[in-house]
Amino acid sequence: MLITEKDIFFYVFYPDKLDKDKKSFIEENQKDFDEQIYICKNIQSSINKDVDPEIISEIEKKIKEKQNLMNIELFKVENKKQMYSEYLTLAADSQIEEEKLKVDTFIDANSEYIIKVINTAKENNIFIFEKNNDLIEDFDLKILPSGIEYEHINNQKPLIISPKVNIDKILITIK
Amino acid sequence: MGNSIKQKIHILSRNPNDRKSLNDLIGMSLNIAVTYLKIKFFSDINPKLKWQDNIEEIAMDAIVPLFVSNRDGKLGIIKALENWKSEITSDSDSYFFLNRVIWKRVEQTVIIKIKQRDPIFARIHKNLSTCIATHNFKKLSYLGTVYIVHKNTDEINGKLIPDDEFENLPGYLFEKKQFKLCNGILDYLVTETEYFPAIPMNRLVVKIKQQYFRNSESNSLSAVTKTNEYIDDIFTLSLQKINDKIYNSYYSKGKLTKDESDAIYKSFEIMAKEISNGGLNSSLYDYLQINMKDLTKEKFYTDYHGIMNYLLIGFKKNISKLFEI
Repeated sequence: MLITEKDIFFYVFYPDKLDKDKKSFIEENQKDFDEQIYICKNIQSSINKDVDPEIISEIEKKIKEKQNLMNIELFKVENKKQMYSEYLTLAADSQIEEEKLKVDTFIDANSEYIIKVINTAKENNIFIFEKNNDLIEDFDLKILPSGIEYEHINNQKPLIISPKVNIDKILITIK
Repeated sequence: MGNSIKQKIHILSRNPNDRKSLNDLIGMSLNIAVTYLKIKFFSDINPKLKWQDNIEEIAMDAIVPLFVSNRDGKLGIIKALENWKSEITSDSDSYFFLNRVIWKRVEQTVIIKIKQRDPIFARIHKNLSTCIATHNFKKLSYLGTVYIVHKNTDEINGKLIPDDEFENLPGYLFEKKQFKLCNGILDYLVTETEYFPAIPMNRLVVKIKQQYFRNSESNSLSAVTKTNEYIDDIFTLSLQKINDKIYNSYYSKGKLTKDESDAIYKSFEIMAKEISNGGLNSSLYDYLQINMKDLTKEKFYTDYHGIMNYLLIGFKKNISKLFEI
């Protein structure tokens, strides 16, 4: 029989709502679910305990601090324009010129995060880096001005937006 | 506590500042997180972590992001609800939702803290995460614990391998790398055991680390001896860099005395042993105090914390960089 974590949870918290066959199966094979049942039973007996108001105040303080750290704005770093005034650009070269890659860099005020956007003719490839090159496991990202949003992503792979959009600012929310 | 969890969440989705609902949910979340931490990681009988941290502090760190609002004024817990795949129609569903979200948050927080204390664990974890993302695997959590499964697995719904049996799986399974490592273990679970094909990710990281740190006395294979030499080299080189930094950048420029320099270096020797043996267990103050008996916290934070913290960041980075897996 297939037993999910929700079944175990219901077995402890809401046994009357659990399918009878599943309930019997868990009872008969309780040894296999020992740890899970033990955790749920302990949570059941502690979940409604009163929490010291001082601890609640401490958590509220931490929430305020975290609020400022989690929501990060990354602004585009202006590229230094290379001047080729002494060269003539021939009309025949124009098509090739358009196909070239353009790289934009976005950075936050504290230089904690850096985002490189490689723009091809058709798409944006977005690479997100943390200052220590650590993996960012869980974050949301919003592209402006388009408003495109990604939720619960990590930075292991680049994000690809196709068709390409204009990007002025990137917002990330670390979980 | 008045309203049901379902009602409290509903109230908060309309008004994230409803103090009563917010405080009730914070209290419940803290109780769940503390209990989960005590049983899963800090049990009196068989603690998986031997840190001196306050459990309540870790629990707070775990739950706080759920009560922070994003740019649109939406609380983390409401966002989590929006991403919840099943329908919540009753209070029992919302109880399960709240528990599952807290279990996951606690596990994430503990992993972040382990990585901060153990650069080798962090390096192996990162490589495994990359392997999962780039091959045909994914992560699924079951009662908070993260498992590596095949990408086509939607839900864990079978008997999972207990910790002690995972420890005793044949050693050859762990001698492979990346895709072959994960695939080999999953195949073994299917063909040779009655367990659901799911690898407890953090146990696997610990197991891989143990492979590198196996004592040469317990195994006469030359490959293992070579591994030990390799690990010794990493720590010797990383400590050498610390030594250079302390004596060339601080002592020779009069920023530290000889005794202070010696004490700080000895602290790093202790830290190196702890990192090789499961990760740092104490604070920087504690390490220095072993070698400076009269050190007060005030003096530590005024004179040494900045230096030691800077050195520790470089030390961990070096170990991680040298540790190729």
